[in-house]
Amino acid sequence: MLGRENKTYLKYCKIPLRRAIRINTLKATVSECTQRLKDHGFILKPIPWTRHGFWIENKADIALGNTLEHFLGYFYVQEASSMIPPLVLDPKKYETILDTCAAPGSKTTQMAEMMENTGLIIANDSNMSRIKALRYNLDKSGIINTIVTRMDAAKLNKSHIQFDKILIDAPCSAEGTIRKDWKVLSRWSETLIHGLSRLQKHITTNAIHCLKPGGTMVYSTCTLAPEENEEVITNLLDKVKGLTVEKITLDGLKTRPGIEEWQGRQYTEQVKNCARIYPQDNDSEGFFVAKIKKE
Amino acid sequence: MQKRPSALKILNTREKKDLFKEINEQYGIEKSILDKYEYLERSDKIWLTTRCALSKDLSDLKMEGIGMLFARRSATLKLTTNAIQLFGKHATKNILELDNADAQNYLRGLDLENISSREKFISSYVIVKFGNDYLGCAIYKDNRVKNQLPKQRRIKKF
Repeated sequence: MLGRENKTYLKYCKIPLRRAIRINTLKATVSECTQRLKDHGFILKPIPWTRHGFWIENKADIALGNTLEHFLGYFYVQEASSMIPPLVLDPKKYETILDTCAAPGSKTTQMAEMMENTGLIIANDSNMSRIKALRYNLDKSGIINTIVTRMDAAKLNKSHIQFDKILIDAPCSAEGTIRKDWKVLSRWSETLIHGLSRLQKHITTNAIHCLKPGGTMVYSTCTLAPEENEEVITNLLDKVKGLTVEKITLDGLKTRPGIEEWQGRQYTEQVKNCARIYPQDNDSEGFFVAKIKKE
Repeated sequence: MQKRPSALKILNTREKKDLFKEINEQYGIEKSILDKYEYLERSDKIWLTTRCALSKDLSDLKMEGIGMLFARRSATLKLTTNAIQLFGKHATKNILELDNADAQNYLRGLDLENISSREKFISSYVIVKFGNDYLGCAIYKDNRVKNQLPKQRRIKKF
């Protein structure tokens, strides 16, 4: 897929991931929280594509998770590329949002912050232990505008609510997280990818019916497997008419277009508007993001 | 007619007015801070959520939680740790200020002895403050602080 660049890709896969945080502006200002972390001895580097995100460049005398600021929910430990899908979806105050696969809540809390705790987010997950983590993180972050549900994401179309925007951060083979956890390799198989691809197609084709006309849906994964990305988008556009894939641009973020062909399979031309994020491009996790507009 | 979560009761205007009055008397938080939200009650617990959340048809959702657990009723009203961390800055009464050493012990989940305060507290449930930060709730009686921090929120080591 990457040709000559494969070596660079593999090199970056071996470099441990930089820790990143997002300041929770529902509870603290960016300047106040960053100053307090600097006072603890942390060196912070701004993440170019978000005003609230920072990389932590060093270890201080105190562990990040043991700081008073962490206890108070002034910041959330969140990987830099994981902040991208909510930025692309761009939820606004008083909107109604569906987050189909919300746990453990990093993107849900980010969206609630962007919405200034107004409107409504249905934060769904199917797994009870993951829901406990989701609720803990919502509470700690001071989130009020959510309803947590436990439903099969592929059956959410039974809801009577029509949403302004939908985020599908789909369960995936997590190839892009290899820098954080090499164990993803032991779980990786083609069977896993094909199984997940089927599930992702179910989720997207069902969730799209909950989207209002004129609404936006963002589909994201932390994997680079085309079967879980461009193939899912192609399937969605084949099954549901009136959808357009919109181009994604975020200042300071290097992205590459989605691939139109993989192992003999031809995908819709529109996938070139999707964003592939390789670890070597922004020194982050690998990610895939698609922005879909409904007529 | 739109269906609501069955076991939760939505507070009506009068009940909200009584709740705001109670909170104002106990903690000094103004009604204007609280009346932009909706409140739900079940047994002794009160949750708060947005108006938007209650305007939707929730009938086909398998709900696991709504908004934030805001307070518990006993003899007096006890605000939760999460509510205090969000609204504590608007409180003017019943605030116990700790010094650095006591705040660290509080965050570890320990009870505190020989804690004196110049403020005469209205109820035994107090808001615990350290510097400009609002940490959570405690029971204050006879110069002793009984810790009310949930176990999973405590900091084990600094």
